[in-house]
Amino acid sequence: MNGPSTPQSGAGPAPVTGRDDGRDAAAGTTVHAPLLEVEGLHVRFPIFGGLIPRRKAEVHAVDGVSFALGQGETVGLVGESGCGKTTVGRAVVNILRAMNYRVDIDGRILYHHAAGVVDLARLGRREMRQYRSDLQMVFQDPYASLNPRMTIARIIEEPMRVHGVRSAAERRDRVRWLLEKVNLRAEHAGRYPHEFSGGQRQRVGIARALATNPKIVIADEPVSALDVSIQAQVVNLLQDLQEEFGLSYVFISHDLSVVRHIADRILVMYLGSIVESGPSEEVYRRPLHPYSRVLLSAVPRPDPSVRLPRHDAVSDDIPSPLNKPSGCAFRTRCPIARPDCATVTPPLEWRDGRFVACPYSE
Amino acid sequence: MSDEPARTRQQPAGATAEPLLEIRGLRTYFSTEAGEAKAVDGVDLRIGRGEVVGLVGESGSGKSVTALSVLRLIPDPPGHIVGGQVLFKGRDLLTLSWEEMRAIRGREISMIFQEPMTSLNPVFTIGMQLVEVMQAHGAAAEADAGRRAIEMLTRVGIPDAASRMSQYPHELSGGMRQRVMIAIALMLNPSLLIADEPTTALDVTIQAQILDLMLDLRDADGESAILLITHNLAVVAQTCDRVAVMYGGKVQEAAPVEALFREPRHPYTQGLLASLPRVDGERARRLTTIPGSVPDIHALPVGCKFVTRCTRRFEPCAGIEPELVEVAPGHQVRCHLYPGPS
Repeated sequence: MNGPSTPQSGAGPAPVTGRDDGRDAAAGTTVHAPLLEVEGLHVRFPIFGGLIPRRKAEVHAVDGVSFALGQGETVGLVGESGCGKTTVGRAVVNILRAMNYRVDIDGRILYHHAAGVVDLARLGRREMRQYRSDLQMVFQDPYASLNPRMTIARIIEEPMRVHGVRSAAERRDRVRWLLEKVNLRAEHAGRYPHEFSGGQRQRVGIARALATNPKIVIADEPVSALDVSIQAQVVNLLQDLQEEFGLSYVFISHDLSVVRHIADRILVMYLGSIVESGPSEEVYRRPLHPYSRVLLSAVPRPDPSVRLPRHDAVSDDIPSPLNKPSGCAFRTRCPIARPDCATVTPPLEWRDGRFVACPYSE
Repeated sequence: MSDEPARTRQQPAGATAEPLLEIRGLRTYFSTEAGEAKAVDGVDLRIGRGEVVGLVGESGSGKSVTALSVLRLIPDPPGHIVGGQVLFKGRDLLTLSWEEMRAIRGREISMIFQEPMTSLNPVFTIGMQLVEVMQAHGAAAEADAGRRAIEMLTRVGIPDAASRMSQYPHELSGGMRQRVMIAIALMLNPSLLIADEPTTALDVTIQAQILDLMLDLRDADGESAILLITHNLAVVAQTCDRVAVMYGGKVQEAAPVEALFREPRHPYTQGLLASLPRVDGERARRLTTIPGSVPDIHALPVGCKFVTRCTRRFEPCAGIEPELVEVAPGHQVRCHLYPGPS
């Protein structure tokens, strides 16, 4: 993990001032005071091959993504596998380099904290540390993301130790308090993850994320692995905690129904780019981008009296991110594609209360 | 947009006529260190010819164990089928010899699983895996089997089928792999396809294609039936003719799909439906929840299996397990709120 430092790292915390607001229109649609502004984010994973490894290709996993997250707001990030939604989440908390040091990251991740604005994308691991406690993650798999050899108390207090100035007694008190906040009991503290159900484990994961008193929580498919009857409990818990602590969420999910319920704004991603973004109610009521439409119409409704027409689904598979179509990436599956879609990459344009990257949709 | 048929059709004759498959009082237990787990504890289920029946439930409800018991694929030990009957075309599968059972699997009843990557063999080509099914049943010479394999791949919507035959599973996308699994399952025209969470690992646009495909194949001959096992109520609403809801190793409610969604009777079914966030219509401020969590399979309640989480429980619930009673034609419920004709 200790690879050579990339050009971006080691540059030190770089407070950014005097930004020309409105330069990147797509970043500024929130009505809340912005807490996080992602501008022109690009993430490329090189692929090495051969006897003497050399760069053979790259996956352009995130291709120019911009969005803002307001104080107390939930932004939903939706799209199918390979669309880059998870990579965006990981880039925001700046853990991609720790996971894969060869990754190329461009763009700005401006975090507005009490003392000013900092570009997280320019921070190395050490400088990131002072902001890490403000940005936490909740993961999909409550089985894989908790260390089976640690007690629940140890799991939850770990982030406090890492960031910590707190005494053991203080940590213990906070663990008990957090357990109650996520509707677990204080006496659960001494137990191990295997003694808990999936829903309870996800509550532990949430308590751990809250241990450092974060401002922003990136939740990556936090309820996807849970049973139907447990999903609703955890979604409600996330909403209660948001209200109580004024948290801002980036909620990443392939489940469009859950995202509609929880998100104020939604970003629809396809092969690394945002194709449509706006207030969720607007986008769900009248999706404009052909991909948003296809995606929403493919969601099965729990109502046998509104059965979807058969053979209405798009044909073909999602192209590989290694081999993205030219121009508009969606054109190979698009019901309204035209010849020039292969040559022109449509920009995100403001229309009908949202941004949409298709000049031909109406 | 749609001259195509919606996902609906006339009620199949099988619902009333002699069923293709009838499960009666099936009980499958597992012996574990923590004691005996009654994974399936008295399941009754009928599937008519041409019918699509959904078996829904959460983890540990017993839905997958029910399916595996039908094919007698329960690993023994630790599992064992301790009682009941599985009548397939009138014959009790539980009494057949191992050889007789082998002749049924793949030929009469086939199964597809959630994860197409782990159910396909990574070291054999797609073609070899398709052809093997026919050869295992001595059903065709190699050349015929090859032709049939290409025909099946084409039918399940795999473009350029002939060249796919020599590809390996890792060269295909998840959706394509699931199509291959369906092609393998249908090589010998089985009369029953058991699909265990067939679309759970797939993206929604691909899920829609796979569900369409399964219904197309059923419609093509009108005789073969599908048992669809899923946790996803919306998938059931979109594809099934009838549905059975499992909880704690038992069927708690069974009904024609319209009736179950329009008028769910069991408090568990009602709770499940109410807890679903909606992709359209009114947006709820808060989701309705079912309190508590799915009980440990080693420590199921004595009376009604749902009693620990039910908001409508009353005196008899904790002590006496309710029977499955008919509350409307074809609509059965296991709940003391609906006393049977006594």
